[in-house]
Amino acid sequence: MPGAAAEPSFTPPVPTRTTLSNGLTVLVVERPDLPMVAFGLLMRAGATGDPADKPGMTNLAVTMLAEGTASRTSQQISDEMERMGSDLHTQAGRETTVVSAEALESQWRGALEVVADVVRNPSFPAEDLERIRRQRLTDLSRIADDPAAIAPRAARALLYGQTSSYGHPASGTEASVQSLKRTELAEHYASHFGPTGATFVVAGQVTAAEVVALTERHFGDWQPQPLPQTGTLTGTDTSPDASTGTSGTIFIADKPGAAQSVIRSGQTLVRRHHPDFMPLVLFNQVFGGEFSARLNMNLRQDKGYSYGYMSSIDWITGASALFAGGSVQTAVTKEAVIETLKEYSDIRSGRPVEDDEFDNAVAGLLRGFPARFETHGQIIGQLARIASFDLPDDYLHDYPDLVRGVTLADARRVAQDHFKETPDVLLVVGDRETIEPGLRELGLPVVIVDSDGQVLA
Amino acid sequence: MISVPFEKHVLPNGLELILHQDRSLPVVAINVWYHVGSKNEKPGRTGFAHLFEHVMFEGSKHHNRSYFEPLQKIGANLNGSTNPDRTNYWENVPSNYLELALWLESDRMGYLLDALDQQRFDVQRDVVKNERRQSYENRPYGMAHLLLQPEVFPLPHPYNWPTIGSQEDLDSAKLEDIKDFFRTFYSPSNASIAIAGDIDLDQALQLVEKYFGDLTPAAPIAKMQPIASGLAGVKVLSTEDDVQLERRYVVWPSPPAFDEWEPALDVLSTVLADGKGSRLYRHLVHDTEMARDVAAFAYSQELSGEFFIQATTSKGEETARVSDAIAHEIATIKKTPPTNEEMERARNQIETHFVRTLERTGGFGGRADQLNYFNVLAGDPALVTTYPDRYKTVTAEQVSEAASQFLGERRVELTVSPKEKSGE
Repeated sequence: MPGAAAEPSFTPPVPTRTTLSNGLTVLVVERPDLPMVAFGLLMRAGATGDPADKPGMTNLAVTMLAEGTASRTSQQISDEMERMGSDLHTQAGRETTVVSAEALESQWRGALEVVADVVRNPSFPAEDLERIRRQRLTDLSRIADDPAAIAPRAARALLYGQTSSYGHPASGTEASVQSLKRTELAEHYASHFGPTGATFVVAGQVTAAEVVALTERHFGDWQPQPLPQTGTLTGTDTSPDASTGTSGTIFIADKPGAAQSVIRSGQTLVRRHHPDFMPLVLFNQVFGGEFSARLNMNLRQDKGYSYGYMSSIDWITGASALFAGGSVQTAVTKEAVIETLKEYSDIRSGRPVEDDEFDNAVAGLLRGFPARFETHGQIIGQLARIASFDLPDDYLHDYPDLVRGVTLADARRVAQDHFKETPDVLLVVGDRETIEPGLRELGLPVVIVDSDGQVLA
Repeated sequence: MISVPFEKHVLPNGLELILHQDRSLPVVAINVWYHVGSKNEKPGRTGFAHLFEHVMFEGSKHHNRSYFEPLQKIGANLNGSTNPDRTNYWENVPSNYLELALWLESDRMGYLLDALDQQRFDVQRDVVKNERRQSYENRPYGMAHLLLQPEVFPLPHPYNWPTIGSQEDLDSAKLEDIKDFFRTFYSPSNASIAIAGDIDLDQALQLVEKYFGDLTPAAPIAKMQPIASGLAGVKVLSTEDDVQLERRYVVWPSPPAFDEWEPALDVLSTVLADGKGSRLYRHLVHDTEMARDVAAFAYSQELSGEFFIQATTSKGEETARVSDAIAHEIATIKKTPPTNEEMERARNQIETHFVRTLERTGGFGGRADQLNYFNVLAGDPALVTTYPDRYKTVTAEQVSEAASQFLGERRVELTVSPKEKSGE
């Protein structure tokens, strides 16, 4: 097998940082190669800011941004953006919200003007709200159609708790979406969203100087919001180990006649800022983070139970979460759960991360690093991550050293310190009648839940 | 717009090679097309080309184990896919590992069968059966495409069966069949390699000659010619699924890729349903709310094309009303060409789409994959740069004419209804 030629040099971009007088940060990476510009405004407010009795408030408010401003109707917004060949994206996450677009260089200034207008002057038109509300109610009812949509939502609710800031349904419940009023949405948006803590990220065929001038023009007089948010844990989940799951319980959500069972296990982990972030990233690469990781090699490549069986870590400033699973043939549901639990136990005690697995994971991250900077969209994604977690501007530059600084001993240690041998939650969405008897043979408590993860009596 | 300069070479054994240099990142994309897909299968033996694609990752004579491990540890991304026309394989690797990637590709092109055994074959057959379950059987409305395909392309059209195959055919696939398939279709004379990214052009050519030059070509394969669907009249189908909302599909056979009508049909689908400003979205989803979503695609393939529209009926609404509204919009666009504003919008959306596609050197739809697409299906990689120009000259009248020509009385209609729930 041929080896490597001389290592090519690669310098990741270091963004140009500017802070406007109202607190808005601007991060720019100039990429003159392609006549496109990707840009987005990251704001530090998300579903964690939903009032306890109003899940879905943030998400609905943010969805309404594209539905009307003081000077544009919903149709005018989409017409203008589409005429420029662009597309407005509003995305409310758990801790942050991003409003973004991508456009040809010749069109991006116009697209930015529309984006600035929807962010700063949303009018929450009553008629459009009712239309969006009806759509949202429909979408909520349709989650039950799709096992692959049920699983992540219900597993999250079981892990963090149905009513916690990190576990409640970010898109709301039927009752909350029915009840949210226009004035509440407008007030929630005005008090939580603003330039404080926000970052405008841009990559493409631009100059930093022009971007700063445009940002100043469109956002310079945007007043700081009364309630600047950062991702903070509230209620019961203030400890890094916030799980409310019942370790060792199997939850079943019934999907009669399903051809496969969707298995999703989860456990809480440390916050993004924890010093063990990078060791955990490497640990996960070995456990289930890529095709050749243990989970997929076992459940797909050895057993043929699944088309793909993976794990990933959802990093947040609060308690992060590691989820693992995939869709398995109904007939082998029990066997797949057994193999999943075996992999959990193996990597913690039976067969800790091995030398070559660790070396491959490190090499993979290092050698794959340059490919993460190919598209403008990828670059603003990197910048948004820097902004969400208050990482230093030279974070990308230092990343390879951070990876190299982790040792095999670290990867093994974090398996002991943070990773639980039994997941906090193990949810199976599938044909209950067929799979329940087998799952009960495992000797673990079995609890039946609905498609939201609510325990059924 | 965007220029993609390239060199094309043909090795004595028939292997085609396209090289495109872009040194902005130390990454190189390798993309291999074999001109074989599910269209080359026989009824009763469906799903073969795709099952074979899986086997290609499992090891070959000189690297007799998974292809993922050596590539993932160098940080590569890799994948493959199969459609009716072709099978592709790609890996994006750090540029100092180009030689490794070429060595691996050449080993599975030349020496796959030496490593293939029953056990590997059986596991991948189970994986593929699970892929079918995950992507079709266990997905809302997932069976619709499997029902539509045979009706849109009645036998003996080679698009009659879906690429994923049937569970029965997959069960009856034999190791020996797979071996014959490899001998017939997997050879340098039926392959095209595109290499894009941080390369020295001469050195890349030398490496390809070194690793692929001595592979033996197979017997020539007659190129299949475009063939129109034999569908006659309107075929009406219905089925049930475990879903809340009814969905309507309407599919018309249309011309193949590179037909003179292709650009007008793409503009038509954009005007009808791409974005909130499109006619169908505005009427069905925004204004009347009779539908929750609507989509339209012109899918042009090597032998034949299909134009399809789908809409999901809102709760409490009648699908008949939705389908009348779709028919009304089609009748309207046949008579009333798109406005200047609609044409400008469609052209800009399509231009943005082309530029964004070319943003990536590798992966599905990246530059290497596009170079192979135009090379294998149209014989000219230069089209990657020039083909988008054809969209600039499409007129509003041609869009109406395309609707008149193709969205007519030769179509398949499918309604997917919520399953009757039995009493609990």
